[in-house]
Amino acid sequence: MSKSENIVISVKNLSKSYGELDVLKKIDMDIYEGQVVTIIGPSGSGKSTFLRCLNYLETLTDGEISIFGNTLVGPKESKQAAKDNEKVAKEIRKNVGMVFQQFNLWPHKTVLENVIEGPVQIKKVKKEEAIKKAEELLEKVGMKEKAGALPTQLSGGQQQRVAIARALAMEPKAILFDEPTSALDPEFVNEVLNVMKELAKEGMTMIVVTHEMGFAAEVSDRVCFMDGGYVLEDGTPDEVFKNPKTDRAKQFFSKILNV
Amino acid sequence: MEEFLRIAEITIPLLMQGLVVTIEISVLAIIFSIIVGFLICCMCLSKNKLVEAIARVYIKIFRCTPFMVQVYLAYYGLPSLGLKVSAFWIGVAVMSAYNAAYIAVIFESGIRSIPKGQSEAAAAIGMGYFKTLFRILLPQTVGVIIPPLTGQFLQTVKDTSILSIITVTELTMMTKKAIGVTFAPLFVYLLAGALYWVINIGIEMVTKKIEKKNKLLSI
Ligand SMILES: Nc1ncnc2c1ncn2[C@@H]1O[C@H](COP(=O)(O)OP(=O)(O)OP(=O)(O)O)[C@@H](O)[C@H]1O
Ligand SMILES: [Mg+2]
Repeated sequence: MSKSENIVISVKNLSKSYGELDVLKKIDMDIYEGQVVTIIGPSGSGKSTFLRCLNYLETLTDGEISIFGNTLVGPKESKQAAKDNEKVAKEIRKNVGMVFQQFNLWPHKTVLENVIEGPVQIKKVKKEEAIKKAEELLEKVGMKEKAGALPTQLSGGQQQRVAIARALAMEPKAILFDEPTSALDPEFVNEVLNVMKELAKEGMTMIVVTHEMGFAAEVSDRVCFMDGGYVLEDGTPDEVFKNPKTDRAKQFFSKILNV
Repeated sequence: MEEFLRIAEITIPLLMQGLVVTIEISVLAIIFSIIVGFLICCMCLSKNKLVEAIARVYIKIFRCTPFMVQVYLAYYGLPSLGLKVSAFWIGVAVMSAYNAAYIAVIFESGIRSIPKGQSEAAAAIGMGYFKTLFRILLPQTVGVIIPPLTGQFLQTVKDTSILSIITVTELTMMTKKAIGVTFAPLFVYLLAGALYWVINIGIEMVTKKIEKKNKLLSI
């Protein structure tokens, strides 16, 4: 199941609540270097929240997350822990990219400017170098000829490919994808999935929240099915899709495979 | 005709003197109120509840009491605190503090109008608070905040006339002086009105330019 024995992301006992609402309930998950993990599940099951906890866009209510040796801890009572988490998050974000459902490109910057912003401003790479690298990445996602365009002049699929290039520009060791194709017209879904497949082949560690069961079955090493804040299924695509252990998963698959 | 020339000869130098002071106060007040307003805005956006509360109280005080009362309070209050400040600088200070409250609200609503995903995308590449503010959020707000900011600046210029009550020799004060000598209120007020109008048209032209430059960039 794993391509390597190296655990790079380790989630222990992770819980997340919004007030009274418990969204994530004591989640444990170890992810190995180079693994492609897809997370599937019904709306509201906590998939996005889980992903956003990993790079600390959401605070943790309890538990621990270690990513490439940097550890976030659920603050419980301590205020200091929350402050420490902010520092740890900065380190984690250097290693972990994120791609959003709504792309979230910066509309006042061109495609090229979107891609070099991180390297130049955060990693302090020289501008000429960053541009050269950005052009290579844009070439890779098939967007080189649009380097001077503004995001609003692009289709959704093109914007998402730029967003992937923007994430790659930071040279991350892992990338989180939160429903990267859900906001796209059907005709543009494949161009984005193809870029992701390419990354998977190159050995990028990826966690992908998706409703694309084809992608999950074909590309991922591991599928996790979430419902009600729990990870109910966790195994290879074959194990999870062909022999789900839980009734909830069976119900979910029968529903989505029938439409 | 000779009479008219005599009136103009007396009026114009007086009004020019006032015009210079009005422009000085306006420019200083606009600059300071942008700086203070921006800081108050940052406080409003702070996660620290106490910091935010201080900013909210500031805004409530300065927006919900008459400007004229604030001017009098500063004029009589500051000396009694042992602060020796000229009427000119008291005017600049009160104008800046008063306008900062409005400008803070304009900045804040502009920044809050930007979708959350914009700052999250910045956070996700490890960008910190100030870079996100200056490189990602503020450039996108320009299109939204320039019109209300312009309105506030025009109001600032007009409000300088109130400073005549604390002996600041600005345009309105000098207008009254000119009328006292010439006994030609209609002509002198017309001229004063035209001068205020010219300042404000100038401000509108500058902000329009900035807005246009930015329209190419923001959505
Ligand atoms: N900021 C928030 N404040 C309060 N509740 C929230 C917040 N964010 C998410 N939730 C709630 O947490 C639950 C899980 O949300 P989450 O976005 O993680 O679900 P999801 O599995 O990603 O769903 P979808 O497939 O619709 O994206 C939902 O009930 C949602 O309403
Ligand atoms: Mg979601």
